[in-house]
Amino acid sequence: MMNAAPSHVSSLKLDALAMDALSPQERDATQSHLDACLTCRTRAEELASHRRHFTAYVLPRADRLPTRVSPWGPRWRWWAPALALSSAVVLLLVLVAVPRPPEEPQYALKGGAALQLFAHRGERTWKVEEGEALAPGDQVRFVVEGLGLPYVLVVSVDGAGQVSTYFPFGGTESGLLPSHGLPLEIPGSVVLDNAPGPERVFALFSRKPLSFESVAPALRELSAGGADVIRDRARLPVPAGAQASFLFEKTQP
Amino acid sequence: MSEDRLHSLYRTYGPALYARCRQILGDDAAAADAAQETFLRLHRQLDRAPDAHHALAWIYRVATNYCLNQARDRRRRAVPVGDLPDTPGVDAERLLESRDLARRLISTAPPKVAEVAWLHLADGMTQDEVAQVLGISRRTVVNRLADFHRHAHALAGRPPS
Repeated sequence: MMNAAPSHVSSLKLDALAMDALSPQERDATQSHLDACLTCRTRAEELASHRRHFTAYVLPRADRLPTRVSPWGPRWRWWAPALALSSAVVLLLVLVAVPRPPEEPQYALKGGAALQLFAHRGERTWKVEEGEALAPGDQVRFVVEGLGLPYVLVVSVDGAGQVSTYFPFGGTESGLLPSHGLPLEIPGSVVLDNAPGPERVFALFSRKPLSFESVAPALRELSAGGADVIRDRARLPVPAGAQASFLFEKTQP
Repeated sequence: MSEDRLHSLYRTYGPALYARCRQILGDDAAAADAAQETFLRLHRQLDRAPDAHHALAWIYRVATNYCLNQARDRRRRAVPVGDLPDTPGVDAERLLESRDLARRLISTAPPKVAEVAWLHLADGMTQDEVAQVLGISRRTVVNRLADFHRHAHALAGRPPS
């Protein structure tokens, strides 16, 4: 038998009170209830404690909050041809525009797996060179080639100790590539944060999905080595069928 | 949406979103991850919300569902019968006061039932408020609460392991 609960204020109303999002009448009624109810005062303080924790410890890392950009939004006009062209021609031009390395790329580490970055800033789009300096706010997209392996996990580690999963974005395991064997642009882009120093991106290709947890220890070890180790070490000791890495530097804001 | 606007929304609503996640997940790190993930799912709704109260309703709707699923996935065993209240059924007052008890009991229920149970019993919302936040009818809320009651009663009625 479910006992009838005495009247209390909901958590949503407590949050609304804290955000000053209640009408004057509701605010006064809620405050009066809090004055008389120890249970709800305790709950309100618990919520306030969590909000303070966010502000003190979680929000400072908000500068690292990646931004997912829709590939079909206006930002991608710089990537797609003019709208006047037919869709078939658009598709052809997009495929042609994706660069195919004429020879073994310098950043390929095993059997020719490849990872290339393209950056966009203002009106400019360019192919990033290994070791090149990029700025906070630059948008970066990835082109990969995985030798026919169907799954890829794109992760990164930077000199500030941040480990990120770029594809699948924020995901816990590898994503399936829509096609394999040709250079392929990963859906979506990443906006760089303002943590200065090196950032190394790894594309890990495999026949079956790799979990992030299986590669996280190697990434954290690399991160713990500091900026020089991140610059020097281009391979992760993880069970990937093939991998490629790419290093760039992030400048001060 | 500009990056500035995105960060502004996160600064404004992040505290309430994180608190919501933390209450359900009971873990700072898991709550921080969940807050970031649900913010990325929610940011358009937050941007379009006419006021903070509407934005909070979205936060409660999306984050409750996400975090209860996370809590369920993290469970490796059923709630031991010995850990449940002695009184068969559900003590709503205790669920309101104890996040740990709410988490252990409610996360065992099926997703749609758990979400209604959490909002009503652990968050103290009225049935009408639950219906409004989830965008469902009050009758559906009543039916799912009845399902939860049966679920909790069944758990309490199991023989000791």
